[in-house]
Amino acid sequence: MIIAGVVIETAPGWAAVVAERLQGCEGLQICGNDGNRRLAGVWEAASSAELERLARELVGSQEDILGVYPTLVAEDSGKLNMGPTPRSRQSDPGG
Amino acid sequence: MSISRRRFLELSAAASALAALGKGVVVGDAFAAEVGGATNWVKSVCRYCGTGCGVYVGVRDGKVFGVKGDQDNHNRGLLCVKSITLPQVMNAPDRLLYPLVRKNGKFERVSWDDAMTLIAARFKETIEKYGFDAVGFYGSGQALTEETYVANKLFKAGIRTNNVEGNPRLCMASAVGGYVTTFGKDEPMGCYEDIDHADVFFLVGTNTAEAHPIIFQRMLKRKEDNKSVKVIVLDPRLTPTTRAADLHISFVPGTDLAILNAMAYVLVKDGLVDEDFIKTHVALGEGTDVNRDWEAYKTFLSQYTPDKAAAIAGCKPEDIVTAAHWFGARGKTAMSMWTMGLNQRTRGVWANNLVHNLHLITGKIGVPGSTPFSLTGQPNACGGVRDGGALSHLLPYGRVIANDKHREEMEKLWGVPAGTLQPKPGPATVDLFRALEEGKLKALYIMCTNPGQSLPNLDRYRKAMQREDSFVVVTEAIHPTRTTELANVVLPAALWAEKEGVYGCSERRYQLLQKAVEPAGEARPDLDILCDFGRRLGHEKLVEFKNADDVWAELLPLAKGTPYDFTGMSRDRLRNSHGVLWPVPAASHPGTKRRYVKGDDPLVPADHPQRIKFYGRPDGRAVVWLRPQKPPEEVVDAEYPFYYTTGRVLQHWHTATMTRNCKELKSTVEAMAEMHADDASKLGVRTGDSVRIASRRGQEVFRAKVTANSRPGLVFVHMHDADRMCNRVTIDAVDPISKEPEFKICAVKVSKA
Repeated sequence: MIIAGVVIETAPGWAAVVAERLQGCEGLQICGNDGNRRLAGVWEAASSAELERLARELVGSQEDILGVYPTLVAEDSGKLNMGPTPRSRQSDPGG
Repeated sequence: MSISRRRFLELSAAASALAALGKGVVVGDAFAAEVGGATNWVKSVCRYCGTGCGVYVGVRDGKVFGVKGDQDNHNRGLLCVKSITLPQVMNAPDRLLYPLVRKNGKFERVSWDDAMTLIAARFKETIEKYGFDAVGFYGSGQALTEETYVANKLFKAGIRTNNVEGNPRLCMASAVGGYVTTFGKDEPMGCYEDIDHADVFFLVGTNTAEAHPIIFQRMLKRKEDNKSVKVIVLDPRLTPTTRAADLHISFVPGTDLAILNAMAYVLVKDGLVDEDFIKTHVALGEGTDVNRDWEAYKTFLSQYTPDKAAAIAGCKPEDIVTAAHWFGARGKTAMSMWTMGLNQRTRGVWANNLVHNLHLITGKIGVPGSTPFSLTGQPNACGGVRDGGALSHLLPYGRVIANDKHREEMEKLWGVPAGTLQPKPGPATVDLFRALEEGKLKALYIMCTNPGQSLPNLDRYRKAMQREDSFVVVTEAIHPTRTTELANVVLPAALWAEKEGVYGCSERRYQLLQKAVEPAGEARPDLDILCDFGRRLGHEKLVEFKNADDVWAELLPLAKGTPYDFTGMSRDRLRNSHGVLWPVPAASHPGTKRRYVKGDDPLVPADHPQRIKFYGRPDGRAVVWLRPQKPPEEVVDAEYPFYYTTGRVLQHWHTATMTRNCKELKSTVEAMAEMHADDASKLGVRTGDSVRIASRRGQEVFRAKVTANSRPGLVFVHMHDADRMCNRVTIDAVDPISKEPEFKICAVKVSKA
């Protein structure tokens, strides 16, 4: 099980709206926002690859989410930590 | 309060994310009571690029188990994927745990004493038989400042050779040459905070989104917060960086000097220059002397009308005009950033000069949001090498070998007899390895770098490292690498959080990496290894250091009174801070955000009549250089019809000895030959097909990736793959001023393999 701290960048002014929308997102727990354009969350997934996929999907599917950046990634198995590739709409070469 | 490991990790993750948001955070109820409970985090700096992101290293049971961003540092708690996966590198299966010596073609484990006895004996024997210039040192912009300093001192003042080079010659030498020729002294005058004030970003020869993602993120934030902010990108390729651009100018590789001059032409023609600033702060020159006036400059620029430049560069003239108008707009600030696209060129210093020109003629320099600002590729290329003086022509803190007074000064400071330091600069990197090839250099000590993969025209110098009569020592944390596989002796070096020392990043911010865990296996910090080596060579008085603190104590007085003065940066101050920007000549000085600016830079006299003084030059004026467009060393022709260029991707760093150890990253380590669909179609190549890329020097086989990102006639390969080495193809021609090789451009042919 992967446990990651993430910052989710939204369009300016949309942090609260996106935070509310993401409340139902499986494995993702929003734990704060800056009142404007950034959310802090904890994301749990089966594997780092799954986390990477979910981050990519989130950025790709919601116009007002601009990027997902990891701040801490750990594995709940006593092993080493790992992290997903940061995704952002602007930095997606396939976009 | 007792919590489970899982809850501990959840809280740590939440704390790190909340920390990244900074102050004014609205915290959810579930975490409000518990976040911040995590302990046992050691303050440090990321091991990778020159951004210098502050991190905390999480330690559990004597092992590094996590990394989180430092919210009080410039990166505001954010990290990229490479940093966050660093713990996997610390405990990687290919960490080298004990010394190895090659015997009968195979590596055998030996004791430290046996390895060091052998190395000292071979170096002594070589020096006695062939003279001190038969040995040399090749270091790294990744080594700690203290390590680089001691290596330079040992080789130049102890062994008495100037055969001291390092991989910064391959990356930042042209930027240094640009700063020194234009401003008189090395290093940027701006800082990261300028990003928050810039109205125009001018990115040239940089894929910032992938090579410096945290800086790119800060730039995006500025752009998103201010809709009028413009981003101009000059890059032959479409990259993740160009996708954020308001204006992307693609051009034929090697023609950007024409574009930069044409922008200056437009700025002058359309009255967007700052005449007062030019009169007060600028001199003009051509060649190596300040010998031109404004009229001569205007005449020079007339060769570079947008139409003429666009014809050379294969771009639209109206885009050049737009770029110049945005850059020069009255009342708007402008910040330039660049990396290897400008530096790794045979005209790298000139290209740097031309970017500086744009700022100098518009006066867009030295105010928040206006600055030229080179981005550094390695974590300590901006600190350790200049501070240590660890290139063949340098001595510590901007002193140079060729200056009699500088040598005398250093001989006194180091306590060695007059005449100890040799007056002739040693060879730059390419020539150093040519000396190895020619058998003139017989013993080479390589520290913390991988030239067996990273040198241009690679096969030539790999052969040199394998000469029967050469003796190559490599200190390295990882084995095998493409360099350790060629070595006679490989010594296990402590890595990152296993030792303590200073890194200096792109913005002149020096930071202390604190030791968090014990070295793996029998690994030792490079500082210990160097001091041991020095003692065995009989130079114990030069290396009387018990630890890195001792080295720092010796370093600080050497900086005093120089333009790089940071004598106010005590070890304790570094330990307790999140980095300090020099100049900082006293403990009470807060550090300098913007150099050359009165009231900010302590080296500008308080009574100086203008707001800026370019004190690096005797006349206090920066130089606008007349630098013509020159083609790269190698241009395409009928036999070699494609341009070949190399670069980075987000997930990997340098030769990937570290990032390949991260399981989420290693799947992207394969270098593929990215080519435009039109070119692929003509060659009958589809994505996944094997193609052979051959230059006049060497060849390599890659799988093809057909993409719209590449410009027709251009093939791109990333530089990280140890199995498909891009540098078998690259050219080892160098810039005549900086001696930096032209990694970024050569001519190749492509065929199906």
